[in-house]
Amino acid sequence: MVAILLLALFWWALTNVFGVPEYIFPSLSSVAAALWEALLSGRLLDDTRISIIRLLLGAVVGIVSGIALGFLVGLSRTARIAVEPLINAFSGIAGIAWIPLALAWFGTGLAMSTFVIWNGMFFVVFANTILGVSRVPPTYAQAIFTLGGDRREVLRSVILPGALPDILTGVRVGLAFAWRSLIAAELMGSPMGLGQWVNEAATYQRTDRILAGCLTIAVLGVLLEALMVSWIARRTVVRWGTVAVAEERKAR
Amino acid sequence: MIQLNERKPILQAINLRHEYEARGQKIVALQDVNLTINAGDFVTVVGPSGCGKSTLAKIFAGLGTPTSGEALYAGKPIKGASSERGMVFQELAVLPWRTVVGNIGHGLEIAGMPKAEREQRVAELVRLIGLEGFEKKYPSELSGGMRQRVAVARTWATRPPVILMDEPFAAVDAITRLTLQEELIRLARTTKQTVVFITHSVEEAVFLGDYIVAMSSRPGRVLEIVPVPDMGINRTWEQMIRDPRIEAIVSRVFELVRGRAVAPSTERQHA
Ligand SMILES: Nc1ncnc2c1ncn2[C@@H]1O[C@H](COP(=O)(O)OP(=O)(O)OP(=O)(O)O)[C@@H](O)[C@H]1O
Ligand SMILES: [Mg+2]
Repeated sequence: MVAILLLALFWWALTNVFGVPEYIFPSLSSVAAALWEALLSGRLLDDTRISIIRLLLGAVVGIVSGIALGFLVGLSRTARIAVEPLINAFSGIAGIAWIPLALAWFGTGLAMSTFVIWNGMFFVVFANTILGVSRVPPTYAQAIFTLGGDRREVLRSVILPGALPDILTGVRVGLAFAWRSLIAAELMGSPMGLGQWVNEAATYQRTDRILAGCLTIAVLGVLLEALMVSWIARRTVVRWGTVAVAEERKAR
Repeated sequence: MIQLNERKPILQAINLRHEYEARGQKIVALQDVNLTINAGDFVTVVGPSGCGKSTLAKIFAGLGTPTSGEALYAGKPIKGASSERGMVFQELAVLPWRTVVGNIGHGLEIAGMPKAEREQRVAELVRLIGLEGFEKKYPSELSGGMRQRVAVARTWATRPPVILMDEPFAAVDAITRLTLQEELIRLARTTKQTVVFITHSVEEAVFLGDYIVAMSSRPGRVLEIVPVPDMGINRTWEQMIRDPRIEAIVSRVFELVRGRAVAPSTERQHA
């Protein structure tokens, strides 16, 4: 909270005290005006809605496939030997580099953005899931076996909750990648969406609109992270005490 | 006293040997271990740190396969873990994401016991280990000793015929430990379960056991099996420490595990 206020103050000082011209760095008030105008015209809402749909679709595919494959590879030595080198090779070139190819393969529709977001997100979710699975103490699983549990029970009640802290970290980082991939995809050719909004503003050299778009993206990113990660974390890993929370550490 | 017809072997180790391979080095954890434990026995295993007590318990639990030799349960080779042989682990193994009652009732849940019955059984156990008021707490909100009591209750809940306990009271304070030990004896005697209790406290081994398996330091071997006179279900520490026979057994076991005993058998002394 304090950080946000400081940032706003710095911004205000930049344009009002140091006199940085509007066309280089627009003032807080003109960005607010641009936001308001876009909100009234309905353009911003339309673009936001489209971006969110694209992001959610790509993110769900990225998260589900990352966790599923992460479990498979984390639990089976054979699967690891088979897939890991391939995935390592591909993760190096993941992300924005694929956009031109994706455009050629899928055109500019939902399939393209989904692929690009999946590509930006999958590897970090996947790698963190493997890490999480490998960090579950083996005695937890052994204890469940001596209670009569089978492999499915161990997976459900030991591995999944045990790997959750790392999975959530993967999703958190992955969501940031997903946003970047989406905006890049929209900048490079998707019709509509927040990236396209920024792109159009750039063509008309409307720096106030560019910043308004960036601000919207930032706020959406924070909201989505809060909904998809922090909300879940508070009800699970934080409550269980399997991750240390900064606030709690301060209190001690 | 345990009735004669019940005294049939339930756990057996035959020429057991276990080796660990760590970074190219071979460590012999167990060697020539022969042991027969009868149904209903309360056995304590005592030996210096690193002598292979946990290794032996894990083999009996079915969590490890011996390098050579055989481990039998009810006359059949042990293959994999089963709910018939519960185990309390030396490392804390209660699940951090389950509450006290969630952990204690886990085995019953797996066994498919109806909810109402399960809750009743769990409540009984919570009372027994003195954790009333902590039912809905997560392990991270408990002390180390409380967590270990939850682990004991979790294993006890399903009433497995055999319970392997690997230093379960190591993290419990001395006063609570006394109560838990007395409680454990009473419980084991009334339910006639077989208990293999591992400890490195000689006094604890003598207090709890029908007989004591004294092990040598690495490679772990069974030095001697020391019987303890029957002190009855309601034995107390006060009663035990005043008994000269007990005193003699304690010093005998101490000599054994410290490697200073004059070997009564053909066992070779290991320096
Ligand atoms: N997973 C493992 N890998 C390699 N060596 C091991 C492993 N587990 C145990 N050992 C070795 O085997 C020996 C016996 O270990 P074990 O845990 O059975 O001893 P312990 O009698 O239970 O000791 P403590 O009283 O300290 O718990 C030790 O010397 C240890 O170094
Ligand atoms: Mg041990």
